[in-house]
Amino acid sequence: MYAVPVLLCAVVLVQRIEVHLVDLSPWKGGGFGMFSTVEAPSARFLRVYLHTQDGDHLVTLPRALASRARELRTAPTLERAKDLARAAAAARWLLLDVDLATRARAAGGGQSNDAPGLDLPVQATPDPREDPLADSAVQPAPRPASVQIYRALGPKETAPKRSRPIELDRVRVEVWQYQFDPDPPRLTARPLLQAEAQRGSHE
Amino acid sequence: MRHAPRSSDGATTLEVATVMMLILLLLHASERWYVRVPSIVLAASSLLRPALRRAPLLWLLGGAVLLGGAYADWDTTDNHKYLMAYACLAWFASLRSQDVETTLARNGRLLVGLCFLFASAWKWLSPDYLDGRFFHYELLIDGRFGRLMTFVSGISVETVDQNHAAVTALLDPASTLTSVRLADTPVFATLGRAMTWWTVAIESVLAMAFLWPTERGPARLRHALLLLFVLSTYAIAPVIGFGSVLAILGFVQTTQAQPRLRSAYLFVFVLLEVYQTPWLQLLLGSTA
Repeated sequence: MYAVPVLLCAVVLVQRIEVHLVDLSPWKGGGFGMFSTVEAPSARFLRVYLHTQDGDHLVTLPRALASRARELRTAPTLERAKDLARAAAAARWLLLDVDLATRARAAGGGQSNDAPGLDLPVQATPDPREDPLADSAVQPAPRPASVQIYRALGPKETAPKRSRPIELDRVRVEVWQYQFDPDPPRLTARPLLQAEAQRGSHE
Repeated sequence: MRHAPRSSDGATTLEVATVMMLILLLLHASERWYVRVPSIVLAASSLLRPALRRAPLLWLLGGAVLLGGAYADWDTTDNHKYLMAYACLAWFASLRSQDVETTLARNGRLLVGLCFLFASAWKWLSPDYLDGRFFHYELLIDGRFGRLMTFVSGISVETVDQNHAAVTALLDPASTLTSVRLADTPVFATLGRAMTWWTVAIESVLAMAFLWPTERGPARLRHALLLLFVLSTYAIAPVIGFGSVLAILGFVQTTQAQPRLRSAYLFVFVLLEVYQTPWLQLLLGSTA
């Protein structure tokens, strides 16, 4: 008679424990914590750095790691962050030169040979938006003629033209979460945790 | 197994509620193929072959598929998918009981009550909810509220888009921003506070009404409150699956002596599908 309501309560109890122990977002896990806090998985984000001889470079994770990245955002634990860093370090990373005019034409319906499967520009000219003290709303940055993009190759993918492999030492994965401050209204992000993995470390 | 007498329209509460559940499974089980496909197969088979609807195993399978999907996709599954799974399992438990409709009604009452108990508990315990920050933030950045806010607050579409751009800039993997400012007007904070207290109040009262041990006191308000909640909440935040499962769990608690109440639940169940129409977009057109 009461087995199903008891099951509901049991799932809520487990979810509450996971929120406490592994920072599971209250929105997930079947605990009915949706619409109760800003701390949804969408308020958490990752910053992933490739450490090379040239310095640290912010990169976009390849699509193959999207699922792990999402799990990390929903329940950020050091173990998950290390796992993701190891997986990113095991990937083959390239530095591509992307001609923005070519890319714009490709976006208009054609295909670009420069950057197949390109997700997002990752390493461009310094962006004035990056000043954390900037107190104005975001303004569009001037567009450079070309950008250099760090990108991971898929398992069976060959390196595109105008690219060169990256010799990376390690990968750092940072998990951030923003909060809302109402006066003045702004979103302020703070790091939750970070993990590193050396190139060649086992996935 | 004992069934309730038929109503004037020829269908028992169980029969109508079962069809509602099957429609829900057909339309809103999941976006994931490994949940959606078996759910559709189970629901379509039962709609076409009524004898299957009374097979407890079918409902056990439906519940298992939904719960399995929730477990596999723990990082993305919304809470109402769990509630849909519990509803399927409630059908399974009820069909195996001596008094099907009484068992189903009791399960429905407890599931609705517990759902609102835990939803309201999270809100009472969350500091960034109680001080109004959460809904203030939601109104500023949630796309579902964007057009409504242009209508209510007079804020321009460009300003709403500017806030979305600010969030996108913060979340951009290439960004090193740690803070972005959002455009705001006093209406957002005021409306946010109103939504904060309205939501936590109605959810708390709903929990009390549905978990009240007798049919007296706040229990008398159960159906009116649930219908009000579903009608008002999902008009703004159209999580249709959630509204539908709540309407079904409310419907199973009605009796033959409440034809108007049953009709109200059926109306709401259908109306929720209509809620998916982008009505503000259509009404406001080029002005929003």
